Formats: sequence, structure tokens, C-alpha cells
Amino acid sequence: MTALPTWAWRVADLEVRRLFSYRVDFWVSFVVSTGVQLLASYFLWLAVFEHTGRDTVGGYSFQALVYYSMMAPLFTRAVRGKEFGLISDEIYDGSLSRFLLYPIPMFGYKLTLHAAHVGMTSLQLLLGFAAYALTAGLPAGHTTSAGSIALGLSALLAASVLHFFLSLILEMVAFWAEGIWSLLVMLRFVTSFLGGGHIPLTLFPEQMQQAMAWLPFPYLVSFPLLCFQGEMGLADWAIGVGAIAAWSLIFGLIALRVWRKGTLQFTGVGM
Amino acid sequence: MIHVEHLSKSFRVFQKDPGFRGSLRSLFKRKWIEKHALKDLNLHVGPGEIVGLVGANGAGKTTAVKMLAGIIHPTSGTANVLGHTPWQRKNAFRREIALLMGQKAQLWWDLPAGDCFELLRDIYSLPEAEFRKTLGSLTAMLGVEGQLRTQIRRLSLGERMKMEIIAALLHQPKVVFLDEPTIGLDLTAQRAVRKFLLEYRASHRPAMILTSHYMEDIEQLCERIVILREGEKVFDGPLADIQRAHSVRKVVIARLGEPAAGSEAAWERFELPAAWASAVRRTAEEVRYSVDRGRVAEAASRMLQGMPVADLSIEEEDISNLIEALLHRRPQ
Repeated sequence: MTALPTWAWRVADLEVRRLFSYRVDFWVSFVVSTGVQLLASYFLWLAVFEHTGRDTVGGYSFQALVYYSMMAPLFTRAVRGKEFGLISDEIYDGSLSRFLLYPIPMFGYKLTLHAAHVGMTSLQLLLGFAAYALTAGLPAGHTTSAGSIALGLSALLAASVLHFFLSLILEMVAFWAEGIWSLLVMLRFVTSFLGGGHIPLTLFPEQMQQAMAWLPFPYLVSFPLLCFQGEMGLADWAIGVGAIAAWSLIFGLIALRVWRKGTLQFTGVGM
Repeated sequence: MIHVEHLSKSFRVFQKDPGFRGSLRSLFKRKWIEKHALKDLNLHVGPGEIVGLVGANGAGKTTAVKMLAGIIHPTSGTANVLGHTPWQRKNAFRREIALLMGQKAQLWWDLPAGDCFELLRDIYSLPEAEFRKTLGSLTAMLGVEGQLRTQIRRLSLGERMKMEIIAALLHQPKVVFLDEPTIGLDLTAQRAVRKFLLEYRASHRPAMILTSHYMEDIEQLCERIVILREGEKVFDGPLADIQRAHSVRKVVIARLGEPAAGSEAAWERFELPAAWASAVRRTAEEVRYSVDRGRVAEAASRMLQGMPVADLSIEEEDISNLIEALLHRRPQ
């Protein structure tokens, strides 16, 4: 395996330092979004359980669903890394030019930046998990351990690469169209909803679950989260990571093709 | 070093009618026009040469520079820079060139300049000792040693531009493209940048292509200029050739002394024939006439006789006027 080039370490180091220098943003984005999510899901599921009078929904207890509803958005944020503007802003304002001049691969540079963001959001995820486990305790039946956390985080890292290529393809539509904000919002919604970022995928209708098994979305949030919660064995983890690698390869090749076509269109015009 | 043959670039540009109705209509039907930014450019630049690309806004200067730096693809034509086709963007090519865009920040906004340079050292795989030596020499030449730990966004425009120049030259490129390197700078900073570029040229002998709207940049840095008008090359040659080929006039300047008693009214009425001379400035201290080249001696003689001349000099017409005339096809 080829070692990471020194520029990649430097880019990651500088980006992590930059991210951590925005202390307010780090805590506000983490505490506020997690707190709101937790409160909303708590009252939502409370209403559902009170209204139906059931002890479980789709095999999940009230505590398990509240826990899931807090952890899933943290996983979604971690997988996404940087929220928006992976490359579309630079295409729009012409600042992509500088990356075309440097003797380094553009995708490698952007993936390194993305990895730095994933590192920061993963730290937020672990803090959120620790805070929840220490204050509310884990739901009954959960077997989260050091091993499952390692499997979950490694699956998350793989899923973040898949998400990177997915969003990169859509962001590169900016080579042809000026406003692609709606496309990115759509991607955000689709990956979050179909990835299990809102409710567990087992609550979806059976036919939809079967159809989604053929799509990359369940690997983005649901799979790493299930690994993290100790619901996936080593064999399941290996199959899932293999599927993520295959999807990443497909989307990576598409992204490369779009990049080559897109740079033919690039005019470098902007602000 | 740079060989360009028949290079052309056309863009498709979206045209929107003004107003609300125009915006609404553009949702369903769009009007596109073909804009020819550069037409059939031929250009050759050797090592150590600084060529000035001159033209009005939209003449195709930046488009040409972007193509030669490999950022955009041409519609037709070929270019060879250091043995490479620029838009193939091979790493070997990108290691040997630099592009400085005065209107666009290329450094990392949130990072101190020192960190940006360290990153560039890694990007260009520069040996540590060589990097330190080059950085030390460039920062000393531009006088910015004290600002290396300041975030780029906190630097003044002049300091930022100097940092951009250092960033562009850290890897000692053999070909340098400078797109308006002094834009927005005050006179002192402009002079410092020009002085630095001349020193850098003398010590490293790179081929440079410079675009600028400031005639001082062109006059002081470039021995040769290429004038573009609406994407077409209309002149390529030494600056002096513009005067030889296109200047039909000279400027005769008389600095005035004290007029002899009783002669004030006479010299105040003094005029040269409008058929071959025109006054460009007339004050109590100085009179300037733009005169047909063939009538310079006669003009000087008449001025010496008709005015209280303390000093008389003859100068070539301002180069910027000649270039402007070429750019706009203004009759000479």
C-alpha cells in the first residue's frame, strides 16, 4: 500500500487545525443540532407510543428509538463531512483554477479535506455517544463494545468515501449549470432518509427494504450505525465494507468521467 | 519555451433579456451567442523574455493566459509550453509553470502565509534546504519577512499580492504567467513588485507573459508587447517599434522664462499652424505642441522666435496614446 504523500498529511493537518480554531462553531453545530434532534425525537416517539399503546415499534423499544434518533443524525453528519460546497463553489467563482495548476490530484486533495471534516464530526459523534451513555444509559439489549465501536467507525470511514464521490458527482454539475443548490439539498434528503438517518430502515415497508438493498444508501448511515451498536458481526462488516468499496469504485469512475468532461467546459470565469 | 500556433477560443454565452419578463422567459427558452474570445493567436516566447499582452477589457488577454497555463481548453489551435501541451495538465508541466492572477486570491484565506508556503513546499516536493533558501530570498526581496505568521485575510492588499507572488515563484518556475499582478496596488507597492520581477527575471531567466492595464508595468517590464483587439493580434514587436511604425508626431516642449517687456501679448497670441501642430498644454510656465514629425524643426524654430523660451526639448509621443490608438483604431 502506498503511503500518503506528505502534502496530504499537511492538508489534513492544516484543515483540522482550522476547524478546531472555530471553537464556537464546533460546539454550536454539535450541541445545538444534537440537542434539538434529541428533543424532537423524544417527543415524537413519546406521542407515537402513547397513541398506539404499544411497547415496541418495529421491534424497537421507546428508549431504543430515541437512542437511534439521536445517533443516526450524528452518523449522517459524520458521513457527510463538509456539509456543502465540496467543489461547486470553486467551479462557480472560478477559484478552481488554482487546483488545476498544482501538481497534485484534485480528487485526492478534496478527499483529504473531506477526511479532516469526517474526523471532526466523528469526534462529535463519540462525544454525543459518551454523553448519552453516561446520562441516559444505553437501551436494553445493546451490545456496544470497543470492538463494535471500531467496526462502526471503520464502516463510517468507508461510507464517507462513498458519500464523497456521490456528492462530488452532483457538485460537478456546476460545470454546466450555475445553481445546483437544489440538487445538493435533494441529495442530502435522499441520503439521509433512504440511508436510515431519520428512522431505522427496518420500519420501512418490506418491499422498499428489498429494493433498497440494491442501492448504496443503506450503507451510508444505517450500516455503520448497526456495526457501532454491535448488531453486525465481523463477516457482515466485511461484506458491507466490500459493498461500500464496490459502490465507491463505481461512483469514483463516474466522478472521474464527469470531471474530465467538466474541465473541458470550465472557463475559469468568476468573481 | 512557449510556442503558440493558431490558438482560438470561443465561448457560448447566455443572453438574458432585462426585467422580470426576461427572467421568466429565460426559464423556458434561452438565447445563446457564440463569443470569440481569442482568434488565431500565434506567439513565440523565449527564455528570459517578458512579453506584455495588452488589450482593452475582453480583448482575450486572460483567456490566452489561462489556456497557456492549462486551465482552459482551446477551441482550436496548438500550444507547446516547455515541451508540453498545457491543457493536458501533466504534473511535469505544472511543476515548471506558475500563474499569478491579480484579481483572484490563490492562497488559503484562513492560513498564515508561512503555512501556505509550507503546504506549497509539500505540493511541489521541494527539498527543505532549497525551500528555505528560496523563501528567505523572496521574502527579503519583497520585504515581507515580518508578515509570515499573519493570516492571508488579515494582510493588506499589497502584502497579500507580495505573498501571492512568492507562492507563485517558490518552486522557481521556468514559465511565469502574470495576469494583472499590480492591480489595485498603491504606487509604492507597484514599484516594489516591478523591481522584484525584474530582479527575478535577471536571476532566473524565466519566460514571462504579463497582462496589465497599467502602462507603467508594460513600459518598465516588457521589451516586447503583443496587442490584442477583440481577440485578434494586431501588433507583436518591441515597444520601440510601435513608435517607429505608428507614431507620426513628436511633442515639442518649451519651458518659458520671463517674457521681455512689451512682448507678453505677442507670445500669448502665438500659435503654430493647426494643419500640422496642435497645442496639448499651455500654461504660463510651459507650452507643449504635438507636431507632425516632418515639421519638428520648423516648430522648434518658430517657438524659439515667438516665445520667451528658457528650455526646449523634443520627445516621442506617449507610448500609451499610441497603444490606445492601436486598440481602438483611432485615426493618428
